[in-house]
Amino acid sequence: MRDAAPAPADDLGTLGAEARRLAGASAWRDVADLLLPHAERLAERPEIGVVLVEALVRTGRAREARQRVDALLPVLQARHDRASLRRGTVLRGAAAFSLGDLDEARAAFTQALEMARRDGDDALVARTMNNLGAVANIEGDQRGALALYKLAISAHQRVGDLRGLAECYHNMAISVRDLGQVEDADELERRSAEFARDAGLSVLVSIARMGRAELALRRGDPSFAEATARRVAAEFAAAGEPVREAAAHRLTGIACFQAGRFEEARRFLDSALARARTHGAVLHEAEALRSRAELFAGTGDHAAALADARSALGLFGQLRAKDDVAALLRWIDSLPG
Amino acid sequence: MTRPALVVHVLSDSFSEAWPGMAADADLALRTTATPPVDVDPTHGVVLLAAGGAESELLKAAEALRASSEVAFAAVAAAADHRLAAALVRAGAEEVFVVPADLERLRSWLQGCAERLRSRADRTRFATGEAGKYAFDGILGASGSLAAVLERVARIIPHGNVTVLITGETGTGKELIARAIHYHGPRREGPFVDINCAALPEHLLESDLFGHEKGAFTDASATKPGLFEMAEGGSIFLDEIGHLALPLQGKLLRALQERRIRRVGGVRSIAVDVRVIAATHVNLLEAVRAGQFREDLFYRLNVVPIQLPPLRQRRDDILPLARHFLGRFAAEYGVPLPRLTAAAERALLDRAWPGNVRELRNVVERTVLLASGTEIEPVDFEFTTAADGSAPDAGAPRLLSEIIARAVRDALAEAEGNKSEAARRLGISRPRLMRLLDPEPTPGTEEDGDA
Repeated sequence: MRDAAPAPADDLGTLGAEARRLAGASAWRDVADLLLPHAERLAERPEIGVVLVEALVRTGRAREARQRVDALLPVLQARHDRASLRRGTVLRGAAAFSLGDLDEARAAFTQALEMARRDGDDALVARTMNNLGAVANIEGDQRGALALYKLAISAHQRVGDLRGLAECYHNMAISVRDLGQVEDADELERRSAEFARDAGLSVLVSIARMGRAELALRRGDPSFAEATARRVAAEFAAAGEPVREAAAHRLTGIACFQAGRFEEARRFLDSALARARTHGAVLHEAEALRSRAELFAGTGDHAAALADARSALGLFGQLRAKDDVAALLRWIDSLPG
Repeated sequence: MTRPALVVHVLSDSFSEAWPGMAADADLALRTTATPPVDVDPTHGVVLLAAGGAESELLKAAEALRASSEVAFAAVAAAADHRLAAALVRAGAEEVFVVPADLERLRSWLQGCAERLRSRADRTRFATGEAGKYAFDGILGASGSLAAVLERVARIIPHGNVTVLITGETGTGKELIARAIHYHGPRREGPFVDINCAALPEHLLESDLFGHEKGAFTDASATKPGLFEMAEGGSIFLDEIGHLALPLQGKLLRALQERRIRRVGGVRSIAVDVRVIAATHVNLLEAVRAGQFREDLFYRLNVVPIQLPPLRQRRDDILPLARHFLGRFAAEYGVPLPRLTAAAERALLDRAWPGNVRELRNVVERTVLLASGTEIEPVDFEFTTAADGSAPDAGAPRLLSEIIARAVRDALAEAEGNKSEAARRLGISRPRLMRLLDPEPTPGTEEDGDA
């Protein structure tokens, strides 16, 4: 046999190969930076356009991602590029999900799932089932979500997707937690952390640990919660994840509150709020305000509690988080005076 | 990890300039050969028979390739010939491309092949990794009772179709054993699917296990396969099988006997190739006598029973397990390896461990995370139950009001009744402390005469 010396590929091909390499390393900002200057030319190679769409979704530019994928899908269809068409369809769902359009997300994920099953693309079967589970969970159908996550787990196993397993087990933990099964949720977060470690994904390990800290609060173990949350906050700080660091500070604050250390609780909750605001993380800001309102109420400052609760209410309303709004309204009603 | 290979059997040099770019796009390592490729690993490569202008040699090349290998291959020609294309497909070609018209389809096919090959390699690597986690030397136990169990498990592992029933108290490691059986057995590269039969209402459990057809019930907006189908080629672990409702027991029995299932609302039966591993802490024979479990299902499940002893019957294993968990969590949390003092060892040995190995694991993890030094004393364990497993007299406060009341009480005690000092320790104002002590003061109440 004669090994062929690699001849120079066309420059879009080279660009695509480099983009895929960066995507494989989850360097999504780099992928976007690499491909955006060539975006118009990607019409010649729509399969590379799909990689750009994924980078945009993963770096928080969902609106732009949706526009680009809407233009790409007919081209991929015409070229009979089934693999890219499947990926583009699921990314359309992901963009819609990020923008809060759950019906559109579900429709796109379902379509992608049918295509993936038909074409034997187990990796995409896993991913779309995971995504459909996330939609179901947000809509309050935790049991439906769990059924989908379990199906996703088996599909992730078929393709040896450690990251997918880590993410799926974490998602399952959230649903199981929301059903009130704290111990079972903790076992699932352990499993998530295990696969994240196997995959060398330290941020995912930290996310799973943060889930365990929250569960420790729910089962009344503030010591474990605080130790874990502090550790996780440091890990997120080192990883340059300020929004997640804010979330970890919030959990630390709640743990300090549960332990009766109110001053310290206040410092951590203030820090969580400041970080969330600095980075425009509206959901985290709302949660930090809600937690601080509970601290104020617990220490008798009902005026401050009400002020924070009302601010949180406004933000949850913006996010259309109906359940959070309803719960907070009930809590406000229960405040003395 | 080496990249999968694209092997191009060059029957003519037409389009040879296209192969490097095609290979790069699909992230395949390119090799070209003028002689028939006989050594291509089907799990690590794909073949193109490239015959632009030499189509008459294609069929012979295809037949020779198929005779020697199961590798996926496609043919590339310069002109369309439907009869030849049909013959090539019959000879095993997955696709026949006419280039340059079909270049994009060819690129797409190569990328699909590359993804399949990488998935296959990833699956093998995953199964190997899981087998390492659930190796028998990782299931610690020097005690005779556990050794007998592990010996029995080792005997059944190679028999991938044998049903297994694992019994034991909660936390004894039933799932661990189930995973060890799967990942060391012939079905290791198939999925391991688990479900807790006690966690769901009957109708949801039925849908989860067997799937449902669109419209089978109100919320069934799409057809959904069940876990039996998703476990195809692998194993399904039915935890808490003792809690399975009687109607579902009948359906499960049929699945075990006929190796076919029917989705909820479905009319056709679907063949399934799955190993069933069941587990329960319930005494199934008693459940049979009480009419809560089908006798025929019990005997179908109980082909190979495995009974895991509780930790209190494996006292020799307590300290090795504790030290194993100390090492594991010290590594996970990046702390120096702690050491158990003799008193700590006695404290561990004195416990009944009603939660078994899982409880021991949780206690050790908490200790590693919260301990301030490397010498572990009994007080570091902070057991939440008494040594005999009963609940302690003073439980941890659960309600917010209890948490606050305790904090205020503790602060006042530390401040020896001085409310201003107590308020300072709590980080709140004195008026706020007064409100916490007496949320609705009665008129004319005098405050204590402290600073």
